[in-house]
This record gives sequence, structure tokens and C-alpha cells, in this order.
Amino acid sequence: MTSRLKDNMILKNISLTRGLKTIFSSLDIEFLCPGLNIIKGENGSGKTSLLMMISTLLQEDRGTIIRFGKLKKNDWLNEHILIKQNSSLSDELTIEENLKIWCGLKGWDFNTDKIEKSLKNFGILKYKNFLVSECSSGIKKKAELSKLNFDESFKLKCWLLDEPLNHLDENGKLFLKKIMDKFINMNGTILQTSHEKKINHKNFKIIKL
Amino acid sequence: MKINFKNILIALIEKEFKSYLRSINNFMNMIVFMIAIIILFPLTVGPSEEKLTLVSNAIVWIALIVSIIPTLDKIYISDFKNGWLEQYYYSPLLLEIIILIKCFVFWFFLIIPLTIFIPIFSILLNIPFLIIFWNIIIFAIGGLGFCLIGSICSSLTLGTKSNNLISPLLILPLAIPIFIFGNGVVEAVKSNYDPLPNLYLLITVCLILLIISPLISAYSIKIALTK
Repeated sequence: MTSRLKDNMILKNISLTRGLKTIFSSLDIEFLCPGLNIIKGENGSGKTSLLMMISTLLQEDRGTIIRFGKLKKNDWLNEHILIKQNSSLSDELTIEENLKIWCGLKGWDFNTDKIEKSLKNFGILKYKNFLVSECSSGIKKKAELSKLNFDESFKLKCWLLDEPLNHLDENGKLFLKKIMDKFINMNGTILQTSHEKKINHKNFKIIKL
Repeated sequence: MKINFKNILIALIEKEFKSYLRSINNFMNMIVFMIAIIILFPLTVGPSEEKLTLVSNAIVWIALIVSIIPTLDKIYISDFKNGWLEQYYYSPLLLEIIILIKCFVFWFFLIIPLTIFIPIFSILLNIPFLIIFWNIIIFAIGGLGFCLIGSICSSLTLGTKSNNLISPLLILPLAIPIFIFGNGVVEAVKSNYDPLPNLYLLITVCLILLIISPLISAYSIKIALTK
């Protein structure tokens, strides 16, 4: 039982309210770990709130969240990445600087080669010196997703992706699928919210809210 | 996974440095505002040199404070809007230390350059050199206190929509000790007393703020992020 809990992510009897609105009450979910978990639901059903709650940005009112055998909060913060729907890149900095500083803040190595390689894979290397405020939403999204393409990102336990396919072109979607598969093969867990009907991955679980 | 804390510090300082360098117009706004106050004040007081000597030091102080206050409450707002505060929250380094570094960088890039302008403005107002010297020291030390107070107010008003109105109201009462002891130093110098006791009290206020400000700011930032 203990070893099972150690690798699993389970929500037990979770309730969450934001303001006066109750988002979930008595929610029980067992996620597929390792594997891809696709969270589906209508607009306003609480998909983003669920990811934010798992990532500790929202506090549940009731219930327990078991994050890989009750990881301590600080360890959990270092063991996952949350990519939100809105870009979290600073407008005053270039794409390369944003990623460099992001890596630095995580305590990872940040050399130019590493960042250039990641941007090249997503096909946005030529925009590396553009200020984020000058870029289109597709490029911003790709820059944001480049955070997943570092060597250190694959060593994490979990990725939380909020609508990662928004604004992406076909090549971007293909490459994202490639790195997601690579992460799952390396025993990673992905929680992804999505409205897409067609799912190209092999090992996945759909969670409906 | 190996976490390199040196990298975190370098990244944080680099980010702040580049952000300030690219928003230099904020600093220019402060300077223009200060110049406007210092030019307008003597015009309204009148041509009497005696009257001007009485209030000249107060004019420099008011000009400095009034030009700083609008920027003080914006320490975190842009980071909050574009999601960097969340990245700080996820960073392995304690949020309190990150806040402390941000305050020091703010002090270094906004307050220290402002102190360079004090002698220029003071000469315009015919303030004696000894007082100019003490003003620079007081403002450099008190400026750190202002940054730390600004950090508290800026983080407390992160979630509110009309933080422009609330912040000055929060900043002014907290800044009163800095005004009192700062002015105490200048008054002591003017009347040939020892200015050091007041200076020590000013340093004490700043040290107290140095301890409590990061704790309060980190707590209120966490509330703003997780609400």
C-alpha cells in the first residue's frame, strides 16, 4: 500500500470554493501515474482551479491531496511545473532572457546553448532576441512550453499543463506530443486540461469534471 | 535534483537590473517631478531669502518623498500581473529572501541615484554644505526604510483594484519615524548638537523594518497569489 501511495496522486473528498462559488464538493480522483491525465469539462467547471489547487496556488477547503506519498510542500514545489494558460513571461525582457532567468530561479544551470537548443526544437530560435511584448500569442506559448524541454524538466515528477494546445500550430502540437511522450516514458505524470476531442497518446486517462 | 542557489541569486539580480534599465522612464518621471516641485516652491514663497532658508531643507525632503511615493507601491504590481511573483513562489529560495533582494535592488537603482541629485537641488536652494552632506546620508539610509515600507504596502494592496488610493495612506503613517529622526539629525546639525543619537534611531527604525518587512510582504504576497 505504501509503495502504491508513493507513486500516486490522489484527491480524496476535496471541496473548493472561490468567493461565494462552490467549485467542487466531495471530489475523488485517482490520477494515472505515470501517464497522461486529460481533464475535461465545460467552461467554468473548475479545470484550471483543479490544477492550481494541486499546484498549491489555491487552498482546498476540505479533503486531502496525496502528492506522491505526501511530499513536503517545498519538495513538491521543486518537483513540478505549472504552465498556465496566460503567458507568464515578462514583457520587458526578451524570450531568451525570460527563459534564462526562469531556469536560474529554479536553481538550474542557465547557459545560452541550452536555451537556444530548446527554442530551436520549437522552431522559434529566430525570435530569441525579441521582446515578449513584440511577439504573437503563438510564439509566446511556444516560448512558455520551451520550459518543458530542458533536461532538468524531464527529471521532475509532474507537469501541470493548462490548455497547452491553445494558439499552437501543427508543428508545435507535434513537438509538444513528442516531449510529453518522452516525459511519460521517463516515469513522469502529466495533468493536462484540454477541449480537444482527438487524443494521440497511448497511455492516458480521461477525467471528467 | 541539484539546486544551485548562486544561480537563483544571479538570475534574480539580472532580472531586476534589466527591468529597471528598460523602464528608465519611471526614474526620469521622478526626477522631472522633483525638479518641478523645487522650482515651483521658491516662486510661491516669494523672493525673501530668509523665508527660503527656513523652509529649504523641508522642500528638498518633500520633493524627494512625493516623487518616490508613486513608485513605491509598484514594486510588485508588474511582477504580479505577468506571473513572475508565482515563479518566485515556486523558487527553492525563500520568498522572504527574494523580497529582501528586490528591496535592495529597488534602493540601489532608484534611491541611490536620487541621492546624487540632492546636492544639485540643495545648491539651488542655498542650503549649507554640511547639511547637504547629512541630507545625503539620511536619505540613503532612510531610503532603504522607505523601500521596505513600500514593499509592505505594495504587497498588501496586490489583490485590490484601486491600490493607487490606498498605498499612500498606508505608506505615510509608517514613514513618520523616518521623517522625525531624519529631520532630528538636520535640526541637531543646524543648532550645533550631536546628530548621532538621531542617526542611530533612524538606523534602528530601518533595521526593525529590515526584519519585519520581508515577513509581512511574503505573507501578504502568498495570500494574494493563493486567494
